[in-house]
Formats: sequence, structure tokens, C-alpha cells
Amino acid sequence: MDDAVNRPTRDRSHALGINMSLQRLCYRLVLLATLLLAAMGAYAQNVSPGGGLLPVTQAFALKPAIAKPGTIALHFDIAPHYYLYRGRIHAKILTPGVTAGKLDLPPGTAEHDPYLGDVVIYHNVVDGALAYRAAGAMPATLQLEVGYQGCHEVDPKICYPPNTQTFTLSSTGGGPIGPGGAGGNAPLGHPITATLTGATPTSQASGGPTAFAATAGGPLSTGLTFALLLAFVGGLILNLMPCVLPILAIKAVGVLESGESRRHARTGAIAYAAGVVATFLAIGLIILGLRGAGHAIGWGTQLQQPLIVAVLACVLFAVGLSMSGVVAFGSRLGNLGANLTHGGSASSHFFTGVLAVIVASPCTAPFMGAALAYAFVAPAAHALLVMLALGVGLALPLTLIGLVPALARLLPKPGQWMQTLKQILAFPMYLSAVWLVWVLAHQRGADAVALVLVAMVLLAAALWWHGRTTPSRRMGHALTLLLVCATGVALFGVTRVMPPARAATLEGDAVAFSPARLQSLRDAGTPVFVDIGADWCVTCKANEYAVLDNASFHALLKQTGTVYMKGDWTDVDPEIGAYLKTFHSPGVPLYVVYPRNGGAGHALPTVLTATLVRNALETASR
Amino acid sequence: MMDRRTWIILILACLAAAGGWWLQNRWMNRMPDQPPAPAGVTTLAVGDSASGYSLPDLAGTPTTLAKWHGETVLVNFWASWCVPCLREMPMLAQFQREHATNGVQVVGIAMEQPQSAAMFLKRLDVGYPILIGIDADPVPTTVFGDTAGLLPYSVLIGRDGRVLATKLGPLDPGLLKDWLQQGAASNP
Repeated sequence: MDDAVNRPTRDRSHALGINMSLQRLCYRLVLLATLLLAAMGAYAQNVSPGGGLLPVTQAFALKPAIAKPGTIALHFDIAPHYYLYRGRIHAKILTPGVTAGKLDLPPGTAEHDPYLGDVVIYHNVVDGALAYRAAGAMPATLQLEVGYQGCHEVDPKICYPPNTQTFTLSSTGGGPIGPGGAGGNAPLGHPITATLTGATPTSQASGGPTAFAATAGGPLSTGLTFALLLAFVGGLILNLMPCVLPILAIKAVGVLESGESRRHARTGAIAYAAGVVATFLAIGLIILGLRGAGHAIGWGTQLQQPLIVAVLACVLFAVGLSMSGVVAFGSRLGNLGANLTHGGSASSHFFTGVLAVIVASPCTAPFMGAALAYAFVAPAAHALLVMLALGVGLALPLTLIGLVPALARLLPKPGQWMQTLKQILAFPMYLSAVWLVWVLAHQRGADAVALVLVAMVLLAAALWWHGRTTPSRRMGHALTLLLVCATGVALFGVTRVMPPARAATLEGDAVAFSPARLQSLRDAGTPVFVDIGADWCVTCKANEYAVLDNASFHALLKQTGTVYMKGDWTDVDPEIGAYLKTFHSPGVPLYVVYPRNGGAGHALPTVLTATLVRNALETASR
Repeated sequence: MMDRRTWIILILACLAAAGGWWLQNRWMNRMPDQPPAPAGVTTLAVGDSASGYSLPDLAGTPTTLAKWHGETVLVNFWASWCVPCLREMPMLAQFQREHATNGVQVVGIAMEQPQSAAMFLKRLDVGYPILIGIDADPVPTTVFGDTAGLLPYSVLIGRDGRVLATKLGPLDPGLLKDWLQQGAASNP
């Protein structure tokens, strides 16, 4: 280390010192978090909530229902990493006097096995249909027996023994549920005498992904150039979204503080831009990798993983503590000036960029949705270009401030106010942490909240002790390490908490999302407004607050006779994942309006306005 | 660029991440807790003698495990609808060929009807004896501790006829090697 540097004044060195320690802390935490996230990345979307292998009825959750008189819809929800054999699904009706037709199953994925020959398997969902008819009057209930067999395709690779389940269905029920959904179903107690020829097999119409493929927006019309433009503008606007703004404010302060050294400001700006762009490219590669492996992934979906939410909450909390000055690295302030001028912070600038992208993920800026949608289906090179454009857009404003001295001069002069600003900005950080804890509460309940709060306390203790101890004390460091490990254990505990039973918490006139119900509503000619959101999706919450959760929207629903169908993607849900995919939606929110005549649905923009929704619903109800 | 402490923290972070990943991996892929066996069915635990256990072979002739007393017996539960089972069977056949002279006997128990098992064995001749476990009561997988009936499932039986180890999921060459040593070390 060369000590021949211009030592700043005492005050200045103090300010720089705090900023330095903040950036270093940020950088180390982000480093730790990214490593953890990277390690967890492979599990995104694919873990079974309870861990281990699922009981057979959860691995292959079967829900039969009478879709319409004469047809039983068999709906399987297959957990991620499990699959069913088409050839081993069979169904029969046990009720005397009722005969079943052929079981109609969707095409599935053909695979060649050297021993079994050609087999067809299913992932995610299967929607089958079983036609039936009664020789005489239709009995009030039907006894249905379904057999199936499937396997787990990752380690431990095992197969479940053939499983048979028996269901009792009410032959009069099964009609569409929800306001305005009447029509098509037989009145109560009416004997059903539909014949096999009269009953249309509903494998196409019962709401599996195949059904949506036909009705969704069709192929994307966005071209590469347009997508790149959208991505760039979206990235620019992302700077202003509430998720990123606090981080950028700190960053701006950092740029100001290094204002006296042009060279240093330039290095910092370039390192920051590199961090942002590299993270976007990494996300792009992860998306491509998962897409290759056939998994659904979208913008922000990492927040479906409770561990990632918990780690992020701790990172934001620690950054907040450091900004508040509660944890300072007192013993080290003396030589930080030297560190700073020797470019020791280039890597911390880089990781500030990484942090900015990580915290940005709950927000979807306008224009970004369309660009990401393009990236998720485009060829690999194009997808990476779009990610690059997003990164350049997000990084540009701050990079320009660092690179162009004239712009930096427009900003106020550094001084004591920066300390105040930093301390003020700590509070949005704490609020962000609170928000993440709230998301976790929805995902895993009170136990997980307790664990993450314990982790935060332990982390605070670790940081406090780290600040007190001197570099020469081995024991001191051992204790810090111990506390950090304890934090890790508490965070790991979060993954072991089972999700709480999800109560139907839909308020008022909203209907829970279900592909089968959507299909039956559309068959009945009812306009439907589908709203897919998630607790971790800030844009969704903003739309709810501004447009969807008020009296005029509900009056509009009534007036147009539209059914409001809400899906929640806070946790992993293959059904919703498949639905999003058919609309080329990279994530949530997704709003789709289906017109009265049962025609194809069209997706609304991610940021809603009251006028936009009114126009869409009025057009749909005509 | 970075001082020594940063490096140490970086290395510790990597170790912590790797450790976390390993724990996660282990936990996510841990074997399920098998459900309890139905009332009245006693399952064989490690250390219990299995030599009295008997099942019919493909021709219907009852065969008792005591037939291979004095040898290390690897019992492998399979079915032709279980792809992971089929994948490991050629390896077991080779294992049998290599170690037949070392006092090792692989015994397959098919959890399906003899006709379909025989049909499959025409395509893949494993060369070791096959017993039929489908119609036996109580269910053989349950008796050997795999109460959920998940396949593949393998049981190592020592030369004295006592259960030494069990494995749910496919076997791997490393484990087979371990089992070979365990079997050789068991009391005759």
C-alpha cells in the first residue's frame, strides 16, 4: 500500500470512512448473499415445500369434478420434478348402471426409454376427461376410481407404486361457481341423460395449458430492435422505482464523495455499471438455463423462495444499520483514506451494482414487461442482448454522473448533509426489510417470521461485535464468526418451516383462479377479469391500491357483469406458472380480460389506470 | 485490491455457501420418513434375521432366503414400470457376474405379476434369481422397511441372514463396494 496520498481533512476523512465502511459492508453482505442465492438458484421453482419426497397424493394431486353433464374432468396437479405415465392412468365408474367411455387424455411428452420403448409422460398438469352415461335415471352420486403411477425424476430417483383413489362425485354438482357463471350446467336434481356421442371430450376445453395456448395472445410480435429499445427505456425508468431508489441515493452520495478525484470517480462509475450489467447477464443465463431444463421462471420469481426472502431481509437490515451509523468499523477508520485512493472500492462499486439489480427485482417498470416477455422466448443471443440493454438502462444515469464531471458538478457540494441524508435513507431500508418479513409471513407464517427476526438480531450482534473488536484479537473474530454462523442457522431454519394452510382469503366478489373455472365461465359467455399477482410484487400492490381495491372498480364489475378472478403467485404454483407462460408473461402482475362471447383473452399493461381498466371491461362486456 | 481479511471473509462466505448448499441438498433429497407399517405387520430392522423369508419364484416354486445362507445377499425390489429400477439392473447383473465367486448373491423381487416380469426379463436377462412379491401378504416391501412401497429399494443381508443395510433409490457403484465389504465382514 502506498501511503503517499493527499490525506483529506479530518471531517472529510470521517465522512469518507463511514461511506467506505458502508460500501465494504454492503459489498461483503452482497457477496455472501449472492453466493447463497447462486447456490440456491438451482432450486428455484423446483423444491417441494416440505422437503423430501411427497406422499403420493401430494406428488400427484388429483381433483376430479363433473365438468358438465356426461363428462368428468380429471385434473392432476403434478408437483415439480415428478411425472406421471400416460399409459398408466386409468379411470372407471363403480356406480352400477353407469358406464364410462374412453378416458381422454392430452398428448403429453413422448420419451424414448431403451427398456420401455416409447412412453408418454406428463409434467405440471394433466387435464383428462371421462365421458359417462347412465342406462336409466342418473344416480345422485357417482363412484369414480382412478389409478395412476408416476415417479420422481431427480435424486432420489424413485417410482411410486401404482396408486388407486376412489371419489364420490355429486352428479348434479360441478357447475361453474361465481357470480354470473350460471348457464350450461343442469338444474339441481335434473337427471343427466347425455349420451357418449353428445358429450364432447373436454381435454381441450378443461383448462390445461393446451387450452390456453389456443386462446392466448399468439406469437409475440415484438421485434429485436423494438425489444431492445423497450428494455433500455424500462431500465432507465427502473432507476425511479421505489425498490432501487434508496440504493441509488447511497450510490450518488458515494460518487459525490469521490468527487475530488476524477480518475477515481470514473473507475467507480465503470465498476458500478459492470456490476449492474453482469448481474443482468447472469440473470439472463439463469433464465436460459432453466428454460432449457423446461422450468418456468420469471422476473422476481426468486422471491417465491422463503430463504431468499429471508436473506434479502437480513441484507437490507444490515445495510440500514450501517447507514444509521449503529455499526461502524471504528478501529479501521484511520487507514481508510489510503484504501480509498488505491481503488480498493472498485469491487464495492461493482457489488453496489449487483445489489441494485437484486433489490430491483420486485419492481417491474413500464416497458420492461414487454422486453422481458420477448427475452423469455427469444433465441439465447437475443435474450442476452435484451438483458444487456436493461442493464445499460439501469446503470446509465449514475455512470454518466461518474464519467462526466460537468454533470457531477450539477449535484450539490459534499458536506455534513450527506451524513444526514444517509441516516435518513436508512429508514426506507428498514421498511423494505419489514416488507420482506411481511412477504415471508404470507409464505410461511409466524414461525418463519420469528426465525428471520432472530436472524436479524444475531446479525446485529455479529456486526456490533465486529465493530468493537480489534483486528489483532483472534477470539474476537471467532465470536463474530460464531454469531454469523448462528444467523445462518436461523435463516436455514426458515426453509424447514412448512407453509401454513392457505385459507381462502379472497375478499368480496373475487373468485380464486382456476383454469377449469375460467374455462367454464368462458363457455358460459361471462366476461372475466383475471388478475395474477403476488405479495412480493410491488407493482401488483400499487395497482391494487390505485385501481383494483376501490368501490368504483367493483361497481364497474357489477355493471359489466364481469367475474373478477384472482390468482396468487406468492408461492410456487405450476398452474399459474403455465398460465403466465401462455401469455408470454415474464412474471407478475398479469391482467387478462376475456370478452363476453367466450373469445380470446387479451392482456393489459402491467401498470393499470382506472380509465384503461374501464375501457377494457366495457369493450369486453359488449 | 483486497486485503487479507477480505479474502478470509470471501473464503468463509464461499465455505458457508457451499455448506448451506450441501445441507439444503441433503435435506431436500433426504429419504422420506416411511409411514408406519399397518397394524399387525412386523417389519425387519437392521440386525433382524431375514433367512426365514420366503416368496415364490417365476415358476411359482416357494424359495426361502435361507437357500443362500452363508452368502452375502443383495435383495433388490423392482418392477418393469419403474424406470430407475431398470436403469440399475444391468449394473446389478454385472455385479453378480463379478462377485459370484466371492460369496455374493443378488436376488431380485419383482413387485408385479410374473407374466409381465418374465416378459421384461426376456429383453434384459439379468442372470440372477427373481422372486415374485406382488401377491404376498404382508407386502414384501413393507416387511423390509419400505412401507410406502417406493421403488427401487435394496436390502443387504449378511452371511448370517441378518439385515445389514437398506437403500431407497438407485444404488451406485460406491455403495455397492461398501456393501461388498460389509457383507464380507459379517459373521458367517
